[in-house]
Amino acid sequence: MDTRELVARLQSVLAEEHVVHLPEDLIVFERDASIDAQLPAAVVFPRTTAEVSEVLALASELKVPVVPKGAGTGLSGGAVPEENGILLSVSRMRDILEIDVENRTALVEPGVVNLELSSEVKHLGLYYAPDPSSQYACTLGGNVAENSGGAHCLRYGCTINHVLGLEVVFPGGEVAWVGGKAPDAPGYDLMSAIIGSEGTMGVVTKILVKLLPVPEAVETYLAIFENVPDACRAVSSIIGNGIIPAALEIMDQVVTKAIEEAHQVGYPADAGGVLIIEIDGMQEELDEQRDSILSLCQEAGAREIRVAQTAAERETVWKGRKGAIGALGRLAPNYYIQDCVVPRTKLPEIMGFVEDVAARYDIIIANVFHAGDGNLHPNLLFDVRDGDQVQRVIAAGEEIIRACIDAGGSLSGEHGIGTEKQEYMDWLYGEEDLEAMRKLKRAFDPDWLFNPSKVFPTGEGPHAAKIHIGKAPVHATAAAVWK
Amino acid sequence: MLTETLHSQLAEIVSQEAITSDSPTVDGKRPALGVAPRSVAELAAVVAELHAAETATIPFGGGTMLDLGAPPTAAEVALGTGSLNAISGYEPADLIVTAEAGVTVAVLQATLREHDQTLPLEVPCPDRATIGGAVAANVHGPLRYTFGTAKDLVMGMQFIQGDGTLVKSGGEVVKNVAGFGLHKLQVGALGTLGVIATATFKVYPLPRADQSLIFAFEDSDAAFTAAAAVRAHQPAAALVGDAVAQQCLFGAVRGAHVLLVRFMGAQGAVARQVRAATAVGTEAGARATEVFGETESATLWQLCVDLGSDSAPTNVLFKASAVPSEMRHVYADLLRAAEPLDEHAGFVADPLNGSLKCGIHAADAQPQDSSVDADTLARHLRFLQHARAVSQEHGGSLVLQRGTVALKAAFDVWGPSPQGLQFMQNLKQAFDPHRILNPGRFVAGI
Repeated sequence: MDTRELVARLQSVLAEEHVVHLPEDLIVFERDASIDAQLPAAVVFPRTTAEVSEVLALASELKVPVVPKGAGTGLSGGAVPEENGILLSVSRMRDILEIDVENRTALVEPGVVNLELSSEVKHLGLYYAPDPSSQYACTLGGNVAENSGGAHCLRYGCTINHVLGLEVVFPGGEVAWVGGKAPDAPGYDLMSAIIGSEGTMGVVTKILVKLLPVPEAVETYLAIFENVPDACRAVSSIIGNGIIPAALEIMDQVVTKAIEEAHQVGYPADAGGVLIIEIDGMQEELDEQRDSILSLCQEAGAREIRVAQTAAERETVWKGRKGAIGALGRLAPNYYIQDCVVPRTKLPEIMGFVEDVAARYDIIIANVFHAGDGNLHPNLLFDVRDGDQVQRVIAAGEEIIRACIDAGGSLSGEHGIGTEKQEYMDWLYGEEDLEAMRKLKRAFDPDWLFNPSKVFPTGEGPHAAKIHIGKAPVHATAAAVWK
Repeated sequence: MLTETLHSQLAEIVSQEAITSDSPTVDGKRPALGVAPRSVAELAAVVAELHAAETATIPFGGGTMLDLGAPPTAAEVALGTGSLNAISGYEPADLIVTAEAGVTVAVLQATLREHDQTLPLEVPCPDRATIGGAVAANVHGPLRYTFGTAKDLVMGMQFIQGDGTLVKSGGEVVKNVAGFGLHKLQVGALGTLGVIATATFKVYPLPRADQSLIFAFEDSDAAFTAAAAVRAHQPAAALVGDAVAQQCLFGAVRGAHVLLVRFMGAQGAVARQVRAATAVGTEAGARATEVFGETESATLWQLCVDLGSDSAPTNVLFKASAVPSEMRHVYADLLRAAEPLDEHAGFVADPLNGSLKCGIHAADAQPQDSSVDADTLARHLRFLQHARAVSQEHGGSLVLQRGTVALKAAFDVWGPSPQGLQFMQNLKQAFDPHRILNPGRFVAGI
């Protein structure tokens, strides 16, 4: 497809200024917060469902690939454009269309920023629960595409547990509502198939989400341990004792030091592992949980437990945690953040293994993770200009992935597969499993035009190998997306 | 002839005892053969054989939900999962359990309870209902307000595609976005996209306290107003029931309408919630209030979930939905509309989730009857048409869960074609190309 012709056709359905196509203008759209980059043929900024539909009809007619994009905070490459393709940005679709207090729902456009929604409904005593660390920037459309999680997933679940309905424009331009305010619409649950499909099955143009009442009480603790495995043992025993806090987050010393340098939130400099525990709900519930949690932490070897005394102190604790990945930029020019999940009981063992890998490959691995869910985020720090180091990072990363899968875990808890993990998908799934997933995609996208190069292995070998010289390392670190 | 050939082919896969001529009837059709594989591998091989022979297959677990769905266009083999009954993985501290499809809900819950845990999925007839069947039929109860439905609880699955291929989706961890949600798609697909072989669930600690309240009201609007007010105190579940439903539940009628509210959680919190809800109920004009503690509370809700699930074939059972805040109108309208039915029509509505269940007991029919007279049929039909229109007017839908073959022929079980039907048809074609799995039983003839 000739680019000029494509642009002309796109400009026949959208205003000229909403079709970006000059090379110098395209360059800012070439990447998301992952390592990959690719220039598209054009970027379009539709405002309405009808415009999205027209663009998609055109794309199908011309057999041009389409990649939808929210804020571009994704870490796995889901919003990296397709060569000669259309990048469809939802950034102009950012209205909150309805707040229904009686039914505790909100109807939003996909470009609405996650945190904006909670801010908007705060005065009603409500909030939107999924809270990715990038929530001040990421869009709800992107959250739906990735089935995003966050620190409070432990108690409240991920995006899929909070979406009630979607208006979707499917490949070809057909518009349909899946799900809705009333439950149990007959038919297959297309909505659950679309959430987390990484923009491979269509473009979401309206999202109906659940809102929750703000808990009446919240308490936040900082439990300080000599090392990460001890902190992990505390997590296992809290959950093993039938307590599900709102959040259980661990940071190792590399991370807490970097955060301290960047944000001065008061984390101890000499502790091997720090565990953030947040409990919320009714006051009596907290009263029942508090003592158990504190004594379980002590049994696991906590040397000190600090209590956030005020809302401001609590915010400071979270400011540090949510700014963790950004702070790592101080330690090395590049980082490779992983997202494996293991059964929670395997945490101490796997974190010991990660430490061992770091030593064997002589690299720094910074750990900050959703321990309560067993969702690891090892950050392998490196300098992309050092070819030998890059090779060690790739090999170390693969050992960690392999160990997590062998422990009964998964490749990704919340960041998605995208391009970043696609070559590892056949470590987790057999060919039959992947073929079944391809069939699911084809049911919506028979021409395979939607985000066509993502999720599935290409057979070109581990993606991490793509972390090679010349991939603009400056962008890779500046893109501080924090999960 | 076909049966004999198939019988011998199946006998090469499973043992002789696993093949029977005793299979359940589905809407008047009785498969000639029943087969009950004893392993996941056998299940896959059997489905592959049935696919090759293009044999219409009715997968079933405990057989408690076989009334759900349109009459199958054909039913040649009943594929039972009852012999797949191992709990294959359970690490209590991980709050994750994996079980084969034929494990009954009661057995799974008993195992979990030994570790003070539970799967918060309410299933009718748990002694017979299997986890595979419960997921395929997307069974749930009022607790979904707190814990969601099977799609929120199923973290992974192995299922057999229509061509016999075993597929794994999701995993055995509580958080996972690797790959597409094929396992979520199987929830509620009634086995038409595959036969569930194993399922992995996220489970929860048993609540420290579980208490329920019953308020009696003379006016249904007051009951719904109370339910809306109680919501501020974070109930785990709520239901409004009419006099007929109360008769079935308690063998007694407390008032024209009752509101049941359940609280689960920490002891002190539940005690405060019960006090607050009592005040709310009184304020709304409740005539009487009773509190049910611990085991009584769980029993009470299981009765509600079981309601209408195991009755005579001549009875009618349907589930309707609406935008939650509008359920009060649907409930009131349908109660009025049911008055001329001259039969026992019982209603329970879930004010928090926006769903309603109605059972109609055909007064003149005998227990052994499989049909009703023409007048009764016409009355039922008119009522159902009205009920569907009312549900739709309030944003919802209606699914007929049980009815005679004649009623199902006259009234589309699933209702009008859903949006996105073309994609559903594509999925059916992709996952069951020979259309052997429950042909015709799902939405729009799928």
